[in-house]
Amino acid sequence: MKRLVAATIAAGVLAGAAGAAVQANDATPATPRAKQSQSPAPVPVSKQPQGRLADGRFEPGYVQYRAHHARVALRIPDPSGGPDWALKAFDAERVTLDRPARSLAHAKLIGRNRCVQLGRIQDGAFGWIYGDGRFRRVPTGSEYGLVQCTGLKRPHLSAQLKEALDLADPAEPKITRAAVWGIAPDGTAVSVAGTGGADGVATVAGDAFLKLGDPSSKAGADARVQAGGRTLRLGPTDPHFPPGFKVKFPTPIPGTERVEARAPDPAGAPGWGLLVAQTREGVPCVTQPTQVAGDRTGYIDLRLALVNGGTSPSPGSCRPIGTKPDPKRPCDVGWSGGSAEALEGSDAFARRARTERRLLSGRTQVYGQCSDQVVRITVRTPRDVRTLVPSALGHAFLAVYDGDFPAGRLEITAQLKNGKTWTTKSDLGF
Amino acid sequence: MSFFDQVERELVRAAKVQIRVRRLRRASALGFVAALLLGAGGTAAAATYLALRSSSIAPFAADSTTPEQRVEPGTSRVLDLQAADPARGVPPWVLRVSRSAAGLQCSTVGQLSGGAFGLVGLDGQFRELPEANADACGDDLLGTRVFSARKTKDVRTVVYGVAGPELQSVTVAVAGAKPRTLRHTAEGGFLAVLRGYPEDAQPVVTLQRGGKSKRYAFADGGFVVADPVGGRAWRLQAFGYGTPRGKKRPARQTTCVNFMTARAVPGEPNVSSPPVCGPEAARPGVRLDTLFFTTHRLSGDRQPGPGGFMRGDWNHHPPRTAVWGSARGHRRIVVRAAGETREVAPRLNGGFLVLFPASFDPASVTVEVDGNRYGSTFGTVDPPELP
Repeated sequence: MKRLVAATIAAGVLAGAAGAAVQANDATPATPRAKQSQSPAPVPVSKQPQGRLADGRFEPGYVQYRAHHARVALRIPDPSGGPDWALKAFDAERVTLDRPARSLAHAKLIGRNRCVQLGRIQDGAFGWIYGDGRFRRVPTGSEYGLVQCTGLKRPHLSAQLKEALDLADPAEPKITRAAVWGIAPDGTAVSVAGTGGADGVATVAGDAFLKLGDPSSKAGADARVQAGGRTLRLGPTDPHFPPGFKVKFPTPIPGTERVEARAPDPAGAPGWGLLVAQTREGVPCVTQPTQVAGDRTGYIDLRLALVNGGTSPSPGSCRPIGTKPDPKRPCDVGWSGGSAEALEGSDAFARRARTERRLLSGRTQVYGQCSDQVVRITVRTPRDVRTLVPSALGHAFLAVYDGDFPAGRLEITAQLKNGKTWTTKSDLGF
Repeated sequence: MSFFDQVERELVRAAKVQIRVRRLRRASALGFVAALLLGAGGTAAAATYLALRSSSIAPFAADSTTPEQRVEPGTSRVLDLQAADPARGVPPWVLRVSRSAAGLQCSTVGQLSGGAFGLVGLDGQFRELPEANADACGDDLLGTRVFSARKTKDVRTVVYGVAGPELQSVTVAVAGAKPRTLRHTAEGGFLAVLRGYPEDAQPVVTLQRGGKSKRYAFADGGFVVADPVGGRAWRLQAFGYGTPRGKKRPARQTTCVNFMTARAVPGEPNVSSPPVCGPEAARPGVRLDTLFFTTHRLSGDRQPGPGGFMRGDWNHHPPRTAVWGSARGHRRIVVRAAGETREVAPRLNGGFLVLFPASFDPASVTVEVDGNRYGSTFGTVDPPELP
C-alpha cells in the first residue's frame, strides 16, 4: 500500500510539474480553464501504405512500381548522428489496376523506368523517418515523395532538392537537413552548386547520387546539378506558355524575396503566406498562397516530413504586370482552393484535425495585391469578416478558410490613405 | 517508454488497486488516508494527463498570424449568451470575444462545457480551444461558422455576430421563413444554431442599428437555389456545344442547363437532373431570344445505358417537381402551380430553377416570363449527337 501511495503521489506530482512546464511555455490564457493549454500533438501517420486499400489490396488508379534489381546503391552517415541516409536504385515497371487486387500480376503496364528512392537505414532496414518521428520500412517505390525516375531506354539527368523537417510543432516546421539526390546516367562525377548549404561534390554509386546539405540549403534561382557535361536547374521554372501568349510578368530581383501576409492553417498544419519580391519593373512580385516552413514556401508533406520549397519566385509565378493595382482598382483580388475530400482521405493529419475541430475538407484562400495607397482591407465572406493590413513589400493580404463556399458573396473593401474606400463584390460558388 | 506512458501505467495500476481496496473495505486509518491520497493524487494526475494528452488543439503560432488577426493574450471572455444545440445532451454554443494586437475585435464560435470554452469533436470528446485560435478579427463581426459532421443532419451552421452596443434588435430568417428575433448582449453579440450547411438553410440576418435596418444574406446568389422542403441546396449549371475548330461559326448553337446538389457531401449521393437544352446566339450580332425551359417530376435512379450524363442521376433522392431552363436577358419569371406562385430572376448564367414538392402535377405548371405566359415547357431542343 505504501508503494501504491508513493507511486500515485509521484505520478500526480510529476504530471503536475509537466503540466506546469507546458503552461509556462504557453501564451497568456484566454479563460481561466485555457491555462491548461496544449503542446502540439505529434503528426499522426496512417498505417495504411500509399496505394493500398484498408484491406491491404492494391488501389485501382494508383500508379504502382513493380521493382526489379532493387539494391541499396549508396549510404552516407547522418551528420547529426541519426540513421544513415541512403539511395536505393531499381528498375521499375509502372503499372496500374482497373480494380482492387491482391497482386500486381495482371496490372496494366504504363512504362518502364530507372528509379532511385531516398531513404534512411536503421538496424539494416531501408526506410524513412516519418512525420511522427518514427522510422518505418518503406516498400520499394511506394512513396512518391521519395522516388525519382527517368526513362529506362533513354535516361536523363534527374535531380531534386528536398528538405527534411522537424515537425515537433506542425504549424511551425523547422528544416533539419537538405538532400540533393537523383540519377546521373552519364555522370561519374556529380557536383551541386548554388544551393548554399548543399554545394559540393556528391557521392556517386552507379547512376545514383546524393549530397546532403545543412538547413540553409535552398533551391534558389542559381541552384543546379552538373554531371557529365549537363546542367539541371533545381530552382523555380516558369510555366510553359503557348506561342502568342502576351501576358507579361515582372522580373523578381534576387535577394529581395520574403514571405509576407501570413495566415494560420485552420487545422494547425503549417501556416500560409505569400512569397513576394521586388522586381525590375517596380511593381512587387506577389505569388499564389502557399504553405510556409521557415523562409521556404511550397508543398509540405507532413506524412514524410519533407518540403521541396523554394525561396525565390519565378517571373511566371508573379501576378501579371497587366493586373497591377492602380487608382481605379487599388487591389487585384483572387481566390482559390476548394473542397478536397478525396485528397484528404488518406491524410491522417487532416483527418484528425477535422475530427477534433469539425473542419470542412479543403481550403479556400482569399488574397490580393494592393497599391501602396491602401492602408486597410476588409474581407467579407459568408464565414466571417476579417480586417487586414497590406504587407510591407508586396502590399499583399491573405485570408485562409477551411472548406469552400458553394454560395454567397465575397466583398473586399479597401480603405485608402486619402480616406476614400473602394469595394469589389463577387459571387462565390462558381 | 515516454513519461506520459509511465504516468498512464501508474494511473491504470492505481485505479486497479483502488478497486481492490474498495472490495476489501478495510476501515483502517491507513486505508482511509491512502484512499484520500489516491483520490487526490489520481485526480490531479488524471486531470493534468487529460489536459496534456486529449486536448491536442495547439494555439495558432504567433509567426503565422499578422497583428490584426493575432489575439492579445488575456483579452478573451465568453459572452453571456448561449444557443442550445438542436440535439439533446450537447453543450450549448457560445461566442468568445477578444482583442487583437492591432486593437480589432475578435470572435470565436465554440461550445461551453464545465465552464471551459472549446468544441465537441466528431469523436464526442470536448477539447478546449486556445485563446490564440480566433475565427476572425475585424471592425465588424458577422458570419456563419460551419461545423462539419459525418451526416448532413449533424452539421451545424452557427450564425453569429458582434454588432456593437448600438444594436437595437437582430432577427434571423431561415429558408425564407418568418424572421425570429434573437437575444443579444450589451456588446451586440448574438448567435443562432442551425442544422445543415448554410446554403441549405440560406440564413438572412437583419440588424437594426441607430434606427436603420441592414440585411445580410449569407448563402444566396451565385448559382445556388434552396430546396423547398428543407433538403440539400441545388446548383444550376449551364453549358454549351461549340463549333469544331476550322469550321465557320453558325448563327445559333445549343446551350443546356441542368442542376445538381450544391455541395459534395461525403457518404451522401450526388444528385443531378437531366439537362434541358435550347438555342442561343453563337456569335455577336445575332438576335435570338434565349428562352427555354421544361417541367418534370424527378425521381428514382438513373436508368442504365449510354449517355448517362444527359439523363441525369436522381440517385434515389426524394422526388421533386422541377421547372428549369434558361432565360438569359430576361428579368422576371413567375411560376404558378396548384395555387402556389414563385417569382425568380435568371442567374448570371441565364439559368433558373423553381422546385415544388413531388405532389405538384407538372401538367398544372404555367410559366410567365416578363409578362408573357407559357405552358410548362417551352423552346427546348434536343442536344446534338456527339461523335
